[in-house]
Amino acid sequence: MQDIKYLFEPRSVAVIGASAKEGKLGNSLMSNLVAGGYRGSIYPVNPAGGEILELPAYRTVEEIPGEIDLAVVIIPASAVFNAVKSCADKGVKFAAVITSGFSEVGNTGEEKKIVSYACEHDMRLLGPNIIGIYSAVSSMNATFGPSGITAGNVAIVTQSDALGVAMIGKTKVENIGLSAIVSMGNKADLDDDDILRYLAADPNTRVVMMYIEGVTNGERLVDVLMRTTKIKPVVVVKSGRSKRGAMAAASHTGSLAGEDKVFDDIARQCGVIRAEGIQEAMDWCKFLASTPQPQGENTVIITNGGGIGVLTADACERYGINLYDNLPDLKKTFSSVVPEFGSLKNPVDLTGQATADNYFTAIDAALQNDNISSILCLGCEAGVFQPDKFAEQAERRFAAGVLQKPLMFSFVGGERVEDTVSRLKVLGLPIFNEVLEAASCLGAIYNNYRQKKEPIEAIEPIEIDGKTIKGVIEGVRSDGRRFLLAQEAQQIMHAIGIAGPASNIAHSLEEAVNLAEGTGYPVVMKVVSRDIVHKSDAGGVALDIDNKDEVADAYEAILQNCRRYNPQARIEGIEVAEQVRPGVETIVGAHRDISFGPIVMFGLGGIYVEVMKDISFRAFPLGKREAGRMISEIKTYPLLLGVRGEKRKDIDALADAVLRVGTCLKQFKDISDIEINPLVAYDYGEGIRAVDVRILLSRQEAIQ
Amino acid sequence: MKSLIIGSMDDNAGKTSVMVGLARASGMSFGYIKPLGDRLVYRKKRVWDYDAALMTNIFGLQQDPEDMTMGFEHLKLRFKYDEAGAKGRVLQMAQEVGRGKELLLVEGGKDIEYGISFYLDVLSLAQYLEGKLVLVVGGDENYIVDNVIFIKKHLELKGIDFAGVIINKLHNVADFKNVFVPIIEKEGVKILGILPYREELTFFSMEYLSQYLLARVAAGEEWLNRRISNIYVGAASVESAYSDPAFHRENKLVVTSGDRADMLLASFEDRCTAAVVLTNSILPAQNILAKAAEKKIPVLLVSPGVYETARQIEALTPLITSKDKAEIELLAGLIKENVNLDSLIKG
Repeated sequence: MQDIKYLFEPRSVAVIGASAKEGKLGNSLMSNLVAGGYRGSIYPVNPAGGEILELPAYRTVEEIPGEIDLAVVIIPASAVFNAVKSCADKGVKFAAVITSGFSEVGNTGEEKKIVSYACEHDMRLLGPNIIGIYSAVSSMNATFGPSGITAGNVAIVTQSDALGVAMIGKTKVENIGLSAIVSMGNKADLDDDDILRYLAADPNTRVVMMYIEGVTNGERLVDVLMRTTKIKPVVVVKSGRSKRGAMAAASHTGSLAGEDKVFDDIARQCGVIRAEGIQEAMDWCKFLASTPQPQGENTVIITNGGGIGVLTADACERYGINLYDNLPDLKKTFSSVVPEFGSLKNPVDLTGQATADNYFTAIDAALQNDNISSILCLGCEAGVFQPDKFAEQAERRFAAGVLQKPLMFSFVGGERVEDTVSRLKVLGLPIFNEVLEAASCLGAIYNNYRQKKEPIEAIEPIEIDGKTIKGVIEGVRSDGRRFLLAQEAQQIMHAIGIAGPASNIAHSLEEAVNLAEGTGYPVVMKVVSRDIVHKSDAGGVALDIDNKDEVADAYEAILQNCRRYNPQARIEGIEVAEQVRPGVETIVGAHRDISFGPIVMFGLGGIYVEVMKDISFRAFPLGKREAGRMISEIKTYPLLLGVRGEKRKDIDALADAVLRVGTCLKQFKDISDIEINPLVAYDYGEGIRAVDVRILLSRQEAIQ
Repeated sequence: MKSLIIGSMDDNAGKTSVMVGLARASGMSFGYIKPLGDRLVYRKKRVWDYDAALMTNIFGLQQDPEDMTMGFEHLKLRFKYDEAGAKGRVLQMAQEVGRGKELLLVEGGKDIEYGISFYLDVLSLAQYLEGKLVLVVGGDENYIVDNVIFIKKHLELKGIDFAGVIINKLHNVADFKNVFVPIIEKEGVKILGILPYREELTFFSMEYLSQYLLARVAAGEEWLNRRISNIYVGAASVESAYSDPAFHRENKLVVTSGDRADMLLASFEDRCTAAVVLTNSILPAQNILAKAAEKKIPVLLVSPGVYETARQIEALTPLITSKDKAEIELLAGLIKENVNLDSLIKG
């Protein structure tokens, strides 16, 4: 297994496809390498040999003396395999294949062949279809993008070449220094998690920014992200949110965008900060890298206008920023600088007569108050406001490097103010024209603060009866089915420790009547058929059955309805079950996601779940704390807390059910989907009941 | 009180439609029972037959539809009755329902032998009630003539007042009269009437479809009376749909998934679209549903996918509803014009 550090810190780089001709990509790349100040050995490879940028060019890889840590391949697609073969045979550690024309255009076979050969010879591959790789620590610009990249603390990992090149240019304009740029391309071998592992440990990287279109090895990525975000912030821009976007992503990189809600929820689970777009991501990255961490949750807004203060208060709520409301302390801190007609409440209003000096008196007071954790300073252009004086004082504060807490600015005004804002922003001060931008930036900082503060949750394993589960699966498989019958599904529920109603299957009307009398009324009756998945839709469910006559009528109705719904349906019997008493209906499920592997779901349940879609997702495994959090995210969570005099429901039991269902799916690869709907929640301490359970086996057999 | 027992040789002969037409055309006060149901409706723990409810609603009958049918499933009927009990119950129902009426209409099961294993087949009913038996025969000409002659040659009609047959849904009446009627009459079977095929009676309303599919109404509830004569499955692209003649057939129902905004908009804009069924429980954006309302197009929402939904609609037998006033009058008119009512009911 190659040490990923040699991708970022190679001692030698071979450029296969190097060119002396200006305008060729092979020449641009060579120029960037040389001009970037790379300190290791550079070996241009070109069949013509000779010299390229005053370096001896080798005709073949084999001719190169000594070890090669990294080979950059920039030749036509048809020649890539042979080049990769030569590199692998020579013992090259990493190959960055810039060439396109592989899986992104349907040429998957060739790509697999290349990767397979490389891996067999212990060589790892980046790409193909990339712009290259930049690493500040080794001053290595092995890209064909812009030259003159400023070294810094932000690492960019991108799945888009064009965006990658554009982002390099943009970071220069925004004065953002980069520690690394990694273009991922088709992710045929090295994936996001491999790169993240290096960047998480890299002391030069303070923030990681990722542009993602599709996730392939989601399980590994989730694990790495969770660890990385405890060390440093990860900002993600993911495309494919919309249907059209997903289609575009599919044709761009052959990536399956996946359901965006799933990605969003899992990103939150990992502590990743998701930006809407590139500009927002860059703003966040810039200031996450340079702004001190807050030491608490108390934010104060200092403003010279009430209106903009209110706007900002709204923005703070949107971005999860808590405003400090200790009025006596605010009075004590700001009364010397706020006129009588101003406001000492948060937002602190210095009024329109505030000068630059007034502002910084207030700011200094806030900086010195240990109860205030961060400051948002706003202003509207006013007659007495002196942008130049303001800028000078602001620069002085930031240049001194003594700020111990986040201090953000947003100023709105005419030409003078705009110029000041632009100038200060380029210098690296956190200043914006738009209050939303300032608030979102501070929100990202707080996101990171909270993420780091919270320890990684220890996940306690859950014991389930694997033997019973395995037996049920074997029985279903031997019957040639993938869909579990009601009784089988309830057996699994019992095996994983989730309570369900007492139930039995009747094969005749007499038996149904006897079972109902034995169970006790009211009962529920449901069709048992491998060919009818949605029982309610088929008219295969009868509720509130109170006596023998109603049992007979319901039995008859279920058979008639189901035969009409699907005349070919095999009806194994009618389930007669205890009717659980009403509670709050929820849905709990687990499923193997194409990107992330095992995921769990929780939401508002019942027959309208597919219409309401009030659900949250998480990658599995997760712990109790995170399970509780995912439950609290649904819009109808207040129902579980108790409304209109009702008591709080057993949320702990619900969280436990989520974990049990996830454990079952994770442990048994044969199972592809589990859905309990409804999972009825009762008052706190009274538990839950799994009323209707659907379990589907995977297509491929993997009996354990 | 006269009793008229209407049976059919097979399912879909049009027995219920004939019964509706007879009841309307007769102008007499009547009671109705259908001892052995075959179109079960189960709502809020109540069970009744669709046809019984139809008759009740059209003619304002006083009894509950639940009291007009003994049951549907053989096993339930066996659970509740033996032969004597079944007969007794039929007679009891006839007495209760027919009290004070000029006519008792008794509808048999879906075909001639249905219910025979527990004594509720149409021939048994005719014996119990000592009424006139009429058999409705439908299908193509060959099938009709074979069935009619089968009745004469192989059915045990001893003890039964067999009035004759009503031939229903015939496409080519003139040819049939020329070629096959003499053959039938030669066998001694009385033809009470020949009812021509009327395409409009094969259409179904969206109201009926919504009940059949157990669908939710997503838009256009006021226009559920729309009648459907063609079905289009919106699976292909809009461009393909535009060039498909089936997309331009009158009174079409479009079946498509709710996330096919393009197909939905194309359907709403097409003047031949009468209604839409959205599948997979996917609702489109509100502005698209608003378009449906603007175009007065009813939209139903169902859970199954497009294929399953289309399959269910394909299997649907178009039945009239009590709101289908024009169709009910058409049936009555067909009976009046083509059936010798006097000899049947009053004779």
